[in-house]
Amino acid sequence: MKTVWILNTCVVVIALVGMTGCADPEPEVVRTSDSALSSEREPSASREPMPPETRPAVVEDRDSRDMESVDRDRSNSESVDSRRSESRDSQPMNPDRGAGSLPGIKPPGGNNLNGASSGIGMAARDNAARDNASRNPGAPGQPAANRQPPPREYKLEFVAATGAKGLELGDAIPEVSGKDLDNIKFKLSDYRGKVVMLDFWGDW
Amino acid sequence: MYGHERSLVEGMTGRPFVLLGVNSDKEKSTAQDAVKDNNLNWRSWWDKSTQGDISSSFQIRGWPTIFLIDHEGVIQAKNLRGSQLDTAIEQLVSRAEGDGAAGGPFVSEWRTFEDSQGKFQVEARLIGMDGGEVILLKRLDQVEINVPLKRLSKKDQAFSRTEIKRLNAMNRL
Repeated sequence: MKTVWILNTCVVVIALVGMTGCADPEPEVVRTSDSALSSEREPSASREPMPPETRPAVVEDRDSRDMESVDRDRSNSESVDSRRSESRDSQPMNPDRGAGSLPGIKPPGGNNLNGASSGIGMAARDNAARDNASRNPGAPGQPAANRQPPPREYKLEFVAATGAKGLELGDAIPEVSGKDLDNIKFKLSDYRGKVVMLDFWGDW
Repeated sequence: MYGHERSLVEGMTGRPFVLLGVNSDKEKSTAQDAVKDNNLNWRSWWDKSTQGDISSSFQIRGWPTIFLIDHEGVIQAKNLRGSQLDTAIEQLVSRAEGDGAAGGPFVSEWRTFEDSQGKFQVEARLIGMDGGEVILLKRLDQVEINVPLKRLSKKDQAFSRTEIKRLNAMNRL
């Protein structure tokens, strides 16, 4: 009888150890995203429609500060501008630029994406790190109204410093609306709830 | 690039992902030909030039410029290419799915439809139009019903016509 009890205890202990062991190596990205997002989730049917061009596309729950900060970023403070132009000027901007001539996509140290993806959350580039630093609430030199919410921890931080200067990682994407090639009106927020690859292209 | 984008879209069929373009060709026909000749399977705004409204407001300086936007509308990456792009999209889409984001065809939101006399109401989702009838999915019992368009209120008739056009355009590409 006693042996059985000891055996049972052993089984319970092993089971407990096994459970914690399993929970531990879960990838950090997934864990942070779950905890960061679950509290904000709502059924999409209950969401209110967005008036076009007044709020960021696709985003429902984000603080309205996000949109303002995007606008502010565009008109922009001098310090941010000079910092960004530094990296932008070092890169060719011709429309024919192919993938091969894009410097700076790879994080320093020759990491490819596989390396970077397992290390999401670490700054892949200096300027990305600086962006984040300047974005943190309470960062020195920023008026309180200009502070943005802290970047989400799970965001992907490999980025090339070309392209739209007013928009940075972690910003809410502004609404896009217009007509498609068949002359039908549509807007980005029609696609809310989906991952969007927004591709500025031309056939030249 | 076209081939890569095309296979990206194909590979993501049924998952919560969409590729949207902002085209900056001066002639619309240039873009239309590119779509036809290369079987491009994504939808684009036509922005009329590199100084078009959308490109200007985004301050785009190089083409192509690519943003990855997560299912909550947050910019997560810029200008990734090749396998880096694929991997990042896969990560974002998996996360969206983990959050319950749906793929598949776009459907209309739930809406209260009213008849032309103002006597009957039904909460339903518009799922199609067939000749002079709308096809509604009732929320209460998930049953599909066909209702002659004329029996709907003026407002719901107008809504149905526009909404079907919008959904068809979204689901075609």
